[in-house]
Amino acid sequence: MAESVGHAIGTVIGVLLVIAILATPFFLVYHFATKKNRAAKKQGRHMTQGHAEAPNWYPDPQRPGLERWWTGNGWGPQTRQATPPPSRGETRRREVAPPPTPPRSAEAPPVATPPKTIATRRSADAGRAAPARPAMFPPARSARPATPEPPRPVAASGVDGWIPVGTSVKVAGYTINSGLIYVGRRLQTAGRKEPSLIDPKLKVQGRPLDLEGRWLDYWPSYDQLHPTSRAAYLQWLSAGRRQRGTPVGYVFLFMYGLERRVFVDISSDKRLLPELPIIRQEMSALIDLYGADNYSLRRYGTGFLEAIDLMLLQDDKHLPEVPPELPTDRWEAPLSLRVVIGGFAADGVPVPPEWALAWAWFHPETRVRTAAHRCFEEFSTMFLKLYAAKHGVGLVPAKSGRAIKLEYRAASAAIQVVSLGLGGVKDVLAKGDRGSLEQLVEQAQSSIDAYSRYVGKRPDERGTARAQALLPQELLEDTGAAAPFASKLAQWSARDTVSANELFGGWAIEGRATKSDSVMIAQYAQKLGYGIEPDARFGGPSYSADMAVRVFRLDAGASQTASPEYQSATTVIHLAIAVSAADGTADVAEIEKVFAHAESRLGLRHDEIVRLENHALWLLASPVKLTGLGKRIAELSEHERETLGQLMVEVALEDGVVTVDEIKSVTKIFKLLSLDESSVTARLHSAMTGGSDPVLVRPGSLQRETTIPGPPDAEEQTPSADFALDLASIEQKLQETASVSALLRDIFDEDGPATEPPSVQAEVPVSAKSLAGLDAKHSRLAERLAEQAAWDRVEIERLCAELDLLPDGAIDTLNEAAFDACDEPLLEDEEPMTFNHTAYGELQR
Amino acid sequence: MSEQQAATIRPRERDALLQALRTGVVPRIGQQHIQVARVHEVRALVSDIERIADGGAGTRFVIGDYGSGKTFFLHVVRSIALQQKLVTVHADLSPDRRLHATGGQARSLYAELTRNMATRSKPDGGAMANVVERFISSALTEAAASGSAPESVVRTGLDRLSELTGGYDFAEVIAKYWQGHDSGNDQLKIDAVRWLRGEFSTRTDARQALGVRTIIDDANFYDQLKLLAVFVRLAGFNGLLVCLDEMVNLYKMANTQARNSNYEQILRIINDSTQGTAEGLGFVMGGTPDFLMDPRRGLYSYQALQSRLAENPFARDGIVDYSGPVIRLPNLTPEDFYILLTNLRNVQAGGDPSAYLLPDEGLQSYMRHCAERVGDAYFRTPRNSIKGFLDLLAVLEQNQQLQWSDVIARVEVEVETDPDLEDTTTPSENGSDNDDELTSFRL
Repeated sequence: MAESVGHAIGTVIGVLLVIAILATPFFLVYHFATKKNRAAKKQGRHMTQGHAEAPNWYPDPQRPGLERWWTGNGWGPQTRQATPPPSRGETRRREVAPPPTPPRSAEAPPVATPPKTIATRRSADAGRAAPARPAMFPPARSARPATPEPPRPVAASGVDGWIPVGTSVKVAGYTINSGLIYVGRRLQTAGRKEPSLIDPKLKVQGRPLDLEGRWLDYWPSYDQLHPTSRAAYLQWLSAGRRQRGTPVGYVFLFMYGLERRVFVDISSDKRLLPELPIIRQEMSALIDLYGADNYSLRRYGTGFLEAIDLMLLQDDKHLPEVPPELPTDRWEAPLSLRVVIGGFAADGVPVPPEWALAWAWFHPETRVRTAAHRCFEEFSTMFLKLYAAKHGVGLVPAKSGRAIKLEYRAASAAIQVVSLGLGGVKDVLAKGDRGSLEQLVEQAQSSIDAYSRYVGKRPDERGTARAQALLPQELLEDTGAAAPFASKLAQWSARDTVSANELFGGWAIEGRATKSDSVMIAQYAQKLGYGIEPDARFGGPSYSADMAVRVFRLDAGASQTASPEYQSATTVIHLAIAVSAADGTADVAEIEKVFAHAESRLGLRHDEIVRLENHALWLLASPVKLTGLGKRIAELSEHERETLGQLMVEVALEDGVVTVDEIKSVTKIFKLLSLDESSVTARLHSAMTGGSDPVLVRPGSLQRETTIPGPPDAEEQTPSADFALDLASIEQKLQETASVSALLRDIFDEDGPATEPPSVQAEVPVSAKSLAGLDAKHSRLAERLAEQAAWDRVEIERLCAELDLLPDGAIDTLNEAAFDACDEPLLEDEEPMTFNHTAYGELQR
Repeated sequence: MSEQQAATIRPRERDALLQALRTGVVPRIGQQHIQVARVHEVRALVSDIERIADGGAGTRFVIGDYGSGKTFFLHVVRSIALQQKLVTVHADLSPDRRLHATGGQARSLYAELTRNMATRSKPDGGAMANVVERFISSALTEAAASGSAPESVVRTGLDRLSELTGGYDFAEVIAKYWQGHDSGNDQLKIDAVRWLRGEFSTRTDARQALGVRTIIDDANFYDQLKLLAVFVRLAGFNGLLVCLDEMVNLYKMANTQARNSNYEQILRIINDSTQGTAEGLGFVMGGTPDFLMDPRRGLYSYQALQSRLAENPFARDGIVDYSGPVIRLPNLTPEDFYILLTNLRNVQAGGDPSAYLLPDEGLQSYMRHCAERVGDAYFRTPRNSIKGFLDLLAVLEQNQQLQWSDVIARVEVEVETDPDLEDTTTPSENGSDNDDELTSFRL
């Protein structure tokens, strides 16, 4: 029994399965049909219920109890409470009644139309946009079935009509000259009496005037106003709508009328379009006057202006000729910019550079930093250059994006929601190609960062040689301000040595340049295509007036700082010169002969070799002080000395041949390094025979990282095996040598180790009380910061420099201590940075 | 978290919080003031963070439906981590930001992560220079105490890095930052930070600017994160927390091989964190159930991951295991939403109950209003209803004469749609303008 039941169930399940399987393709076809088809199907269902296709409110198929707007070929986003089931008559009437302003989604982009010029394209859009008038929806709260009336013809003046600007009208004894209001008795908006309509028959009581708006409702309506409020409103109108202190309710009431004019009258009658600018001007004046301390008015008002702008933009002649100003506050892109960029996208036309700059500026993904704001000129020039270099005539925006549309919640309860479109122009601003624009902005910014920081610290030094030196090369070429220095450099490069004093021309340096000035001079020269040796960026000393320097041509794209390879090479040169100087035979030929292949051994770039040669020549030309060498070398650990020794051996062996001279030199260096001189030949031998006795440079870790074998990619496989091996082995040595070089560098840096500013260090511990968890310097910084309530970042940087602190690190340290003490930062990290005295108090405990 | 209710709300936090919520984005600071429920989930992550701070590692997947608050939760976790003196980095994955790639997308993810690097005192990003300078400052202090040259102290401090893959150049770049500071060479400092942020795109440029031969690129993306984790500990922080959101973008990748490479990277991350090869490094990844469980394209499609991420077989029918690698976020309930509203009211009033703009029944009335407009969506995907509520508060604040009961009826709340679903339509599709066509389509 149970079994047969089981069978039966099995059979039923089987049959169901078969049905399901058979039905699946149909389901899939149905399910994966395009959205449009789905919409059409939904539409179909309604059609069977006898609805006409006309746009109107219909019961929402998804949510019982709600009605949803049917646009004619799809469901709109708007819903409202369902009305009680209408009688038959009403239904029929609704079917025949033309919708208020047909919300046609006539925004179908032309498929495969031949490319047009922007102008023709836009005019075509305008043509299409005109019928696509703003859709208007009856108020959601209205309990009556919405049968919005067609726009009424309005008389120029008098009964039931719009009073244009410049026409005067007299109501209850008040003469209103400035127009822009509706006067009459019956004017309706979306099925209810127009709230702003001034009905001259209604009672007006002038005493007492309701100037404070005591009787005003949040959503006022003229016919519901208290007679004393009506009087106050009329008085406000007659006096020209500009008195300060007027309750905002009156302003709103007036605004309702403007909204009706725009969204009902003007949008259905193109001939009225010239009124738009007038209304816009009035509205923006009202916002300026009354919006400052009223958020609602400001919000509705600016929304209204945007809607007007969009309607204006439907007409080609309102499209801007030039990109908008780029404001500091780039919260939202101007509508006109969106429309223009959308137009470029639609036409497949490259965006010209100036427009691209505006596009990038307002792109939500780009990060505009202080540099761009502070040095906008330089930033924009740089951006335009980079844009031209990367995209030539310009970038063609991708066409993806939503059609530009605007949904405005009108202040007037009679209008509620208006959606405006713009003939299929897509909003591509926030879309495609953002990567490349963002990159360009970032590149432009980082190229002027150093310059920006400098002029931030010293605003009065814009245009001086120092500031100029920090500009990117591309901008220097433009200005021509660099030409005098460039021609001097050309002259100097022809000479053997130049007095550093000559370099100082235009820099206002007396006697001795600071380290940062030396860096700047070298940077400036390099941007103009010249190198100077010594160079503080490569570990050289700062310039002083009595110093002789070498100037030489440098490749474009030459190194701006010492690589580990270069540092090692200089160490080799230094040691070589040191040993040859020690026995009094320092001459160029010997150095070059013995160590010529240091360069190839270490894998230097061409520009580094040029620099190294000049460095060696400069060293030989200047009296080298070797007094500190022994002491310095004594500071090296045995391991570090070993590393240097091994490097010398390898350099000597580079050409595969060991000469007697080489052995002599290496031996001398071993002696200098207090290494076993007798081991030199053994080491050379061992290195020649394949390094069977490797020197342990650093204990390696056995752990091998598992890397992901990416998809077979030609590029990833290019580094050949032996190259990779070589790299790994040499890298360790180079790094090791680089750090040793850092120790030795000071010998050849005539500043010696005395570069530390000693003055501050001495006074710090005396003046500062130590704060909780902070050392003396940071405590002192906190103490100084407490002197002022708000700080510029630049000032803080200066303070930190005085105390020999790094600004970002110092702020972070202070704030963390303050967080530990009281969960609040000491300095708000936003300009201007405000100092938190409560937190400081906590820290002092 | 409820103890923090009484905590004062700083004006800056309040404004940032309200502004973010009103524009419909997840706030970056002050989340603790509005966090509701999810005590267990938060507790699980707190213990993760403590483990990371102790030099451990951890990986968690935060899985929830659209609108369930994954992003918000990630930011809560992030703010807790900052509190525990971790450094955090966070980014959304996207078609051009992935964990593994050969066309620059992994570098781009790294760049985004490091641009958003945050410390407790710089919670909204851009903290790379802070971290580097913290490290150098401590080296300077040490150098001053021991009387040795600062640069060699910096380099000695970085020895630890040099042992790791790619560590030499990383250390070299930090040393360059110091040199830049020492010689007043701002350009060098800027370039060093740019390198650390993965903003160099060619080796030639890096060699020219910093003298190093490598750059952070697709191939060493994860190794660099590990280095960074070690480095932040050297700088005096407790560890690094990496928050990756919108992981669903991996699931959406059409190319199986590319997708699997990304999953392999995730496997490597999980393995490292469970086997202890990573140090002071934690990952929190947010994604949808599809991303996790889809057998064809989700993490489960990758066998090795499926076994590691499988649910505890005992954890079902309401019993939950918060110790597994996967944390599932339930949607909010109306009760949660109510508490959220009270929190928002509290934040808006700056923590002062006497300044509340509407009473408790006002909150309920608002919820009723929302329910009428959008149904359950108001608490399931609360973004818009929160926005509406804050609009309501703003109106009430600026128009003190208004009654809340009048204004509530005017608040507009719209149905929230999942943009991931919208993206599936072709851009040329004209009908895509109607936002909610697909919201609740059923047979």
